[in-house]
Amino acid sequence: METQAKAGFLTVKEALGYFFFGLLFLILKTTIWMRIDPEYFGPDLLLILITYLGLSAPFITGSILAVCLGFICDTLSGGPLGLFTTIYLIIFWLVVMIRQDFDPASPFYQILVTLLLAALSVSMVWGFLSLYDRGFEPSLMLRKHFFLIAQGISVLVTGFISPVFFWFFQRLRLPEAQRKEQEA
Amino acid sequence: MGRHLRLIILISFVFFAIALISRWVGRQNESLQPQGLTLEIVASLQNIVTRSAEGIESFWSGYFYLVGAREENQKLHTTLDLARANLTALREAELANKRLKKLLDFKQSLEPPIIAGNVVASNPNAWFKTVVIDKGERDGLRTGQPVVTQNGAVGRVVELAPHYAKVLLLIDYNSSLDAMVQRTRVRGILAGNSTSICRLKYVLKHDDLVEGDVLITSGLGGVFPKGLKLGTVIRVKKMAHGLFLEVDVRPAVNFNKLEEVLIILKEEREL
Repeated sequence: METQAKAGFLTVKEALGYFFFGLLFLILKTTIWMRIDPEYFGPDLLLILITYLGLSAPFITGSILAVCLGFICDTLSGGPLGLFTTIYLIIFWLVVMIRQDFDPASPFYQILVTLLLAALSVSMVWGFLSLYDRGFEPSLMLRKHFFLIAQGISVLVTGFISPVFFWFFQRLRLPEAQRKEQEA
Repeated sequence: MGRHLRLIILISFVFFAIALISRWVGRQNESLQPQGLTLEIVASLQNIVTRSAEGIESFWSGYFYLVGAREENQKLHTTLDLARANLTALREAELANKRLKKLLDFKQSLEPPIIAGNVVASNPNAWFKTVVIDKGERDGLRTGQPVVTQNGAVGRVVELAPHYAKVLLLIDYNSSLDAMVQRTRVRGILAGNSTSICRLKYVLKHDDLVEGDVLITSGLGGVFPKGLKLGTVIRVKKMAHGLFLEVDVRPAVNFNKLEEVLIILKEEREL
């Protein structure tokens, strides 16, 4: 696995690249992927991207990317506006807080962190909806085991495929010499 | 941490500004709200991807995979769906005649205009059940308008962009509408729970309801016209405690395979 690029710097080109990849993930998920996986067993690629940004992006740029992608996710979903904006922002901030404590190049840690964050994201959606959305009835959803199983599988898939995407996102970054030049 | 605190305050201000702008713009024009504009842009991209995928899928299955059988199957499915819809309508008409409802409201016979739309995208997660269609405010859509297929009720328009609209499906947990059992005229509230099965609420224990009963829209609430098929009762459970039955309903429409829909263009004052 390649060494991660220095956390705390993203060029404009890189930031825009990650934004468009996030947008592409959302578009593919809501169009082609839904034909294959209508029950949502699939991975949350946006969460993997936000986790990666938390490990390698500067605080402001990463926060802005998390807010923008979360807002688009909110616009496309039928939930309260701001739900995913808030959740992705919290996830980004959490990763920023813990990024000093583990090796971001290790696939083991990548899986572990993404898995935990995916589970946290599901719990946060559940928690926010239970608190703020009157129409949400947790007891009804809990009775539908299939929904919970699908969510569980999605969390696991998100965690276990994350190293592939971390590698891919790392490949999108500019060569070190060019980065240093731009940083200077 | 001081730097982070400043940033958090800064971002909070940005959110506050966006919220204010949304409220202000919301009074001007619904489809020009930030989410409406985002929906317009992203839905255009989704539309391109969906059309391309459909094109490729159609080309593949139409020319390489059982050309004749597929087309015949599609025709038969359409015929069957129409026959089912006719059967529901006929049974409904028969029951109405038996009850000697001679006072017909001729205004109801003046059907509101209907337009067809295509589903271009689904929801990006399992929590909510919405779809985006390729008809919007410029096509005459307004929030609250009912969306149907020949199989039954689909949902209602909840958000508008100039050329696209978001439709809240019946199976979303935020959706609920007045329903009626076709056979016994027992009424209840059909509520979604974001799974493929809906729940019929507030049906009393002594009410006549059995598995296999067909549910239709009651026409109350003013969104859906009366008599549209909603689904079939698949489970009735009498709880030891409480006043009501626990009733599961399988929707008449297969929401996983929703492609074309019809939007009933009711005026806002009618909704």
